[in-house]
Amino acid sequence: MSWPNQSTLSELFALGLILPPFVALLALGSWGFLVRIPRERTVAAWVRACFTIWLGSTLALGILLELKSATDPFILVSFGHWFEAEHYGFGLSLRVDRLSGVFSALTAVIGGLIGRFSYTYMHREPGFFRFFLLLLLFTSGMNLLVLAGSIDLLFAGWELVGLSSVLLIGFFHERATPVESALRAFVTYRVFDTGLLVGAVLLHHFAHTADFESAFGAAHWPLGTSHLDAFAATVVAVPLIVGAMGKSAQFPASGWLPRAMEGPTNSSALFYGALSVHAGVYLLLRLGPLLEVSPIARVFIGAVGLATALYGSTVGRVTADAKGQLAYATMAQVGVMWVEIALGLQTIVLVHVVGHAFLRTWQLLRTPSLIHDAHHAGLKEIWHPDRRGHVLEGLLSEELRGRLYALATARFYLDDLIDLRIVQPVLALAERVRRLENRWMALLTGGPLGDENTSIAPQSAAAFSRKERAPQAGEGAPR
Amino acid sequence: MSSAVQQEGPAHHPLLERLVRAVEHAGHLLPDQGPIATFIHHNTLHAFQRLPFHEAVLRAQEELGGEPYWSEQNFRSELHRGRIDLSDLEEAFAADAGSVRQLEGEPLLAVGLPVVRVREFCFLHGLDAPGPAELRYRIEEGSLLLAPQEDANPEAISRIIAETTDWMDRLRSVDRIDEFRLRLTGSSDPRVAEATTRARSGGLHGLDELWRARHSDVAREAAAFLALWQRSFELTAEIAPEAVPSGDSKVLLIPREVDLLVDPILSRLAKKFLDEGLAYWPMPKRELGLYRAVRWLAIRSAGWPVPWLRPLIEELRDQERQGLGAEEAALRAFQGMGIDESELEALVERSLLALPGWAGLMGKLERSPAMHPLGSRVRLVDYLAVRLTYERFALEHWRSSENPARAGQQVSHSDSSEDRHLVRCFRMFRLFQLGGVSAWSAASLSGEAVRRTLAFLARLDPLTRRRLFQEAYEGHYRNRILSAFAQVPRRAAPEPRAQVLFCLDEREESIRRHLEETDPAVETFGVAGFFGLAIEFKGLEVHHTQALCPVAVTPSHRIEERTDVRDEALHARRRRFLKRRKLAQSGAFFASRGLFRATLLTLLGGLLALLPLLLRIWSPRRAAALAHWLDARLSPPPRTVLSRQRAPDDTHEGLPVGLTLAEQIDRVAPLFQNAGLTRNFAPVLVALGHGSTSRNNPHESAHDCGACGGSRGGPNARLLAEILRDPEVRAELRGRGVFIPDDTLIVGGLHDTASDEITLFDLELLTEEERGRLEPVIRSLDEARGRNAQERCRRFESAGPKVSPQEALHHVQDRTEHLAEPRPEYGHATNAVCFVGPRTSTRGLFLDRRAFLVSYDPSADPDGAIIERLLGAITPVVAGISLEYYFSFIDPERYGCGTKLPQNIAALVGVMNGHGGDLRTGLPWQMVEIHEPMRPLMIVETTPGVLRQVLSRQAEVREFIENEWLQIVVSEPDGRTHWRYHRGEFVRWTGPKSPLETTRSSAEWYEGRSDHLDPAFIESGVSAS
Repeated sequence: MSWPNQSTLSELFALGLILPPFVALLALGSWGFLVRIPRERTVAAWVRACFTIWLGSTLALGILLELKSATDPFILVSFGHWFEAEHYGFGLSLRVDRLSGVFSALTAVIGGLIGRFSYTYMHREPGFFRFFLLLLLFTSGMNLLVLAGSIDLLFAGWELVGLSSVLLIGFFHERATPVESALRAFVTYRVFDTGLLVGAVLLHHFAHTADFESAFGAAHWPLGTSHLDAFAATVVAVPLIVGAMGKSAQFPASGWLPRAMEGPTNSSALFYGALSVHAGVYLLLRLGPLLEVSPIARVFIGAVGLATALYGSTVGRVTADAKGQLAYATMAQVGVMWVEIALGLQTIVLVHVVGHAFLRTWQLLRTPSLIHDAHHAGLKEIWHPDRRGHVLEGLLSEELRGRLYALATARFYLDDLIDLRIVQPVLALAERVRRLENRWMALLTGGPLGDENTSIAPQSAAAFSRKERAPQAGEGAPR
Repeated sequence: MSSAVQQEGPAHHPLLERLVRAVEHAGHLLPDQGPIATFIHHNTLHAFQRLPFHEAVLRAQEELGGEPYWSEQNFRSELHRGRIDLSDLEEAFAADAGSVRQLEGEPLLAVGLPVVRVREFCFLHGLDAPGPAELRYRIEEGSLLLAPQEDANPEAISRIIAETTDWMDRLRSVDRIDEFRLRLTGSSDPRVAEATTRARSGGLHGLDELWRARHSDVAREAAAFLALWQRSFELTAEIAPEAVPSGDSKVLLIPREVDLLVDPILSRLAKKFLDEGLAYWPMPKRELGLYRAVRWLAIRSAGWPVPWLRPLIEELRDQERQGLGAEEAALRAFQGMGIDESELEALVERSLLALPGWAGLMGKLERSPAMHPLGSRVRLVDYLAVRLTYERFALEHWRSSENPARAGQQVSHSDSSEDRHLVRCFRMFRLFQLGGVSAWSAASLSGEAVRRTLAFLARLDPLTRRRLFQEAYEGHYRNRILSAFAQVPRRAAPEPRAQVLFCLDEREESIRRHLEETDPAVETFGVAGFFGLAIEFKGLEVHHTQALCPVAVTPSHRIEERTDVRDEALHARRRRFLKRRKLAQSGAFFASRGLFRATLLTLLGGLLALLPLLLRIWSPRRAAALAHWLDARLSPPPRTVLSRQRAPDDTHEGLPVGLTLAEQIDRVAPLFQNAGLTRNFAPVLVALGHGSTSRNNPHESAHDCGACGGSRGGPNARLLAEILRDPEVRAELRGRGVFIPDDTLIVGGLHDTASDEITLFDLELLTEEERGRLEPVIRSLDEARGRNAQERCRRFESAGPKVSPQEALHHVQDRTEHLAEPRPEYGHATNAVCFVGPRTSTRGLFLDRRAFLVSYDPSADPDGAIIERLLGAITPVVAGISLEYYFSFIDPERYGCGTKLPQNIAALVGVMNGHGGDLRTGLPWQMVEIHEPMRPLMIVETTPGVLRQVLSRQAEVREFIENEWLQIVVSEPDGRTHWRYHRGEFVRWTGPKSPLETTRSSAEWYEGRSDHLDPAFIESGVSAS
C-alpha cells in the first residue's frame, strides 16, 4: 500500500471542493424530474452531505496548501480541455489559491448555513424542492466562478449564478411583482454580462489565452504580474469591469438590487447579502495584475465605486423598509470595496468581503425581528430621530436637506431615467425593426401585410417599466 | 375648475361635504388593523357586520374582491375525508332560505333520477360547463365524447353502454344504418353524419367505420356517448333561453396603468411618513400631516426627469401659494380629472381601496391616534389628497400619450345563443352520464322536465353550492360536538387540592385537560385573561406602556412595575447596563447601514456575526439559554413590586396609579362570581395569564392574549395574586359573597403558549409551609406543560412522529427561538367552538384545542345578569379571533397577508411583500394553514328564555347572532337538552348522535395522529368519585 503523493492528494481535495454541489444538484434534480419529487428529509440529507464534504475538503486543502508553501500557496488542477482548436483551447482547469480558496470556503460556510436555515424556513412550502435545487445550482455556479482557472470557465459559473438569482427573485411567480423584479434583474444581468463576454474575447485576442495563469500569473495572488502592456490591459479590463458592475449592483446598474428582495428571506440573504453581490468584487480581485498596470481601469473602478457608495448610502438613509435598507447599505459597502480595489488594497478587500458577507447574512435573516427589537426590546426609545444625523447632515441647511431627501426618495430618478432614455427607445427601435421586417416579408412573399396592431413592444415596455404593484386588491378595481 | 371652491369658501362647498362624507364611508371598508406590534384580532369584514353573513361575504366580494367561502374543490376534499357527509349537505339544503328551494317535484324521476341524486351530483361534481371555446376544443380533440369523464361512476357508464348495445343489437337485425346515423348525429344524410362523427370524435372515428365495427367494445362505447350527446343536444335545443342578466357595464374610472404609476410612489411616501424610526432620516415636515409634507417635498424634488411629474409639481407649488388644506386639494384634484361630479364617491372609494393596507392604517390611526407617535396628525383625507393629486397627473399623462393599450380596454365577449345551447347540452350530458341515463332512457323526458332541471342546475350555481357546503361543514362539526356534549359523563368533583385559573383561550384547553389528567384533584377555570383588571401597565425595563385589557375596554388604572427597595442598587446598575446595551445595539444598527461607520464595522467586526449565526441556527434553544445566562450574569435584574395600592395624588397622564381597596374589590369580586367560584376554595389557587414568545416573527403579538389587547397577561395575574393576598381584601370579599379562606395560598403566573414555559411570580414571598403546599402543584404543572407540548407537537411535522413530553418541550423551545421558524405555534388556528358553562360539563372531554372554555355557573345566576355581562364581553373577542382566522384562511391573498417567507418589515408598523407595494393586513398563511374555516359555534349553558333576554339587551351580541356571524346553541343545565338558535327561533337539537369513544388518556387518543380529532371521553381527566 502506498500513500498517494501530495499533489494527487490535493487534486483529490480539489475535486471534493468542486464536485459536491454539482453531484447533489444532478442527483436530486434527475430524481425529482424523472422519478418523483423527493421528500423534505431526503433533500436535506443530500444538501447536508454536499456541504459537509465541501467544507471538509476546503479545510483539508487549506492545510495542505499552507504546508506546501507558506508564501505562495496555490495549486492548479487541470482536467484537460473541453475542446481544442488550432490556436485555442477551452481549458478546464481549477485554480485554488488564497483568493479563490477564501471565496470557496465562504460559499461553503454561508451556503451550508443557509441550507440548514432553509430546511426549517421552507418547510411545507410548495416550492421546497425547487428552492433547494436553485440553492445547489447557485452554490455550484458560485464555486465554479471562484475556482475557475480561466475566464471562460468563470463565465460559465457567472451565468449559473445569474440564472439561479433570477429564478429565486421570481420564486413566488404566482404574483406579478416578483416576476417583474426578476425580469428587471435578468435584463440588467444580460446587458452587463456582455461586458464580461467582450472582455473574455479581448483577453483571448491580446493574451492568446483564457487562463489566468498564463495571462497574468507569474507569481500568485495578489502578487501576479500582468503579461499585457498598459494599453491591452486597459482594453481588456474595462469591459470586464462593466461585467462586474451588473452583478455587484454598481451605479447605474443599482435598481435591481432592492427589487431582488421579492424572493424568500433566506435567498435574499444568500445572494444579495452574502455571495452573489460580491462576485463582481471577486472578478476585480482576480484581475489585480491587470489593474496594476492600468491606471485608467483603476480610476474607472474608483469612480463607479464612489458613485455607488454615495448613491446607496444616501438612498438607504431614507428607506423605511428593513430589506430595502440593507440592499442599499450592501451596495454602498460593495462600492467602498471597489474604491479599495482602485486604491490597490487587495488584502483589505478580502477581509472586507468576508466580514461584510457574514454581517449582512445575519442582518437579513434577522429582519423579521425588527418589530420585536423596536417595540418589545425597547430599541425604539433609543432610536429617536432627534438623536441621529448631527454630524454630516448638520452641515446642510434645512432647505438643502429637504432637497436631498426628496431626491433620495425618488431614488434620484435613476430607474425612471433608464426606463425613459434607454428602455423605451430600445423597445421603440425594436418595434420599428419588426414592422420593417413585416413589410419585407410581405414584399418577398407577396402575402398580406403583417398584422400592424399586434405589436409586442407596448406590452413588454409596460411590463418592464412597471416598478411595483399593489397586491391584487384594488388592481383596476372596477368602480 | 377650482374657482368655485375658492369663491364659496372651502367649508360650504357642497362637493366638499360630499367628499368628506365619502372619505368617511370608504374608510369603513378599509382594513381595521393598527400597527403590527400590538396585534388585535377583529372581524375582517367588520364593515359588513350589519348585514347577514351570507349577504355580507358577497357584498365584500363585490367591493373588496375577496372570496366569500372556501373553494368548492377544498370542500369536496373535505367530503372525501369525511369532514362533511352527504346528509349534512341535505340538511343544509333543507334549511337554506335562498333561491334553491324553488325546484319542487322531481322532474327527472322519469329516467330514474330523483332530485336528491341530481343535487348529489351537483355537490360532488359541480356540473358546471367550461367556457364554450374550451368545450368546442375538447369535443374536437375527442376527449369529451369518446370516453367517460374521469369522475364518472363505472356502474352508470356500463349501464349506458349496455343499453346502447341492446339498441345496436336490435338495429343490426334490420340493418338500419340510417337510424344509426340519425341517433348519433341528428342527420340521416350520410355525408353530414360522417363529418359530424369525425368532428365529435377528434377525427378518430367515422360513422361508417363505427357501424362496421359495431360488435367491438370501442365502437359501442363511442356510439353510446355520441348518441347521448346527440340526445342531450336535441333535448336542450328547444329550451327557450333564459334571460341572461346583462353584464354590468362597470366603468373603469381610472385605468390600471395609472395605478401602476401612482402606487409605488404612494406606498413609498406612506411608508416614510408613518415610519416609527427605521429610516435614518425621518421624513421632514411630517408633523404637518401627509399632504403638506408631501407638498413641501415635491416642490423640492426636481421632477424634471419624469414628464408627468412636472405639471404636478407646478400644481403643488400653486396649492402652497394658496395655502390649501388637504380637503380642498383632494377636491381640486378630483375636479381636475374631468370625471363627472356624480362619480365623486365612487372615485374616492376606488382610490382609497387601491392600496387598502396603507389607506386602512391611515384611517385606523386617525381613529386611534394613541397608536402612533404622530398622533392626530395622521388623517385619511391627507392620504386621499396626495393620492388624487398624483392620480390626476398620471391620468393626464396616460390620456395624452399614444397608448395602444387603451384600445384593448373594452374587450367584451357576448355569448351567442349557440354557445348557450352548447353549455346546456353539456350540463345535461354530464348529468345523464353520472346518472347512468342512456340516450334511449332520456328519450322519455318532457321538455318541461328538462327545462326545470336546467333551471335548477343554474340556480345551484357555484356560489350557492359553496354556501351550502359551508353550512354543511359547520353542521357536521356542530353535530359532532353537540353529540359529544350530550354524552359526556358528568361526575361530581371531589374536594379540590388546588385550583388554577386559566385564560378562556382555546389554546389553554389542552393544558387544562392535561393538568386534570395529571392530578384529578386539580380544578381549572377559564376566565378572560386580563382577570377583570383593566390596567395600563408599565414594565420596569420597558419604555412604553401597554393596555392590558380587551380592546373594547379603556384602562382605568395604571400599574407600574417598580424596584423592590432592597434592590435599588442592583436596579441602578441594571439600568445603566440596559441603556448601554441598547445604545450599542442601535448604534450598531445604524452604523452598519451607513457608509463610513459601516466600512469600519464590517472590516473590523463583520466576522463576529458568524458566531450568533452558527449558534442561532444550530441550536436555537441553547443559544437563547446562553444569552439569558449572560444577561443575568452581566447584570442581574432586580426584584420588583407592583404599584398595587393607590397612593393619594399619584396619577400619570390622567390615570390613577394603583387601585384603592374598594376598586380592588369591585374588580376582583365579579371575576369569581362570573366563574362561579365563590366557595369551596382549595388550599392553593394559581392564576395563569398567557402570552407567546417567538423570535424573528413580526406577527408575534398576534399569538398573545386577546383579552389583554394583544399583549401578555402576566402582570394581570401577578396583580390579581397580590390583591388577593391582602387579608383586608379577603375580608371585604366575604361581604360580596366570595369566601376565600385566610390560609388559601394564591400565586400568579404566566404560561407561554409557544414555548410552554410556566413562570410563577413572587415565589420568594412564600413561607416554608406554603412552598411545601405549592410544590406538588408545580410538579403537576410541569408534567402538564410537557404533555401539552407533546399534544401540540402532533401538529408539527418536523417534530417527528413520536416524541416524549421532554423531547416535545425541547422541540417547542427550539421553535420559539428559531430564526427560521415561520410557525412558532399554530395560534388560534384550530379554534371552532366556545363553551360557556361550568367545567364539570366539559371535564374529561377531549376538545382538541378547539374550544374556548368560559367558566360560568348558571345555578348562581338565576336572573341572567352574569351571563349577560359575560356574553357582552367575550362574544366580540371570540368572534373577532375566529372570523379573522376564517377570512385569512379562505382568501390568504386578499384577507390574509399571504406567505411569510418574502415578507419585509415596513416602517416598523407592518409587513409588505418583498420590496414594496401595499402593507399586508390579516394573518399570514403559516399561522392559519391548519384551520377549518367555520363560523364560531357558541354553546351556552343557560335556558332559551335567559338567552333571549340577553339578546334583547346586548346589541352587539345580537348583531353577531342575528346576522349569523356566529352560531349559538343553548345547552340546558341538565346537559341533555340543546336548543339551536336559528333565524329567531330556538330549535331543539336532536342529533344525529355519533358514539363518544372513551380512552384512558389524551395521549392515547392523539398518539400517532396529526389531523383534527373527534371529541372523546378521557377517563383519567375526571376522578373516579
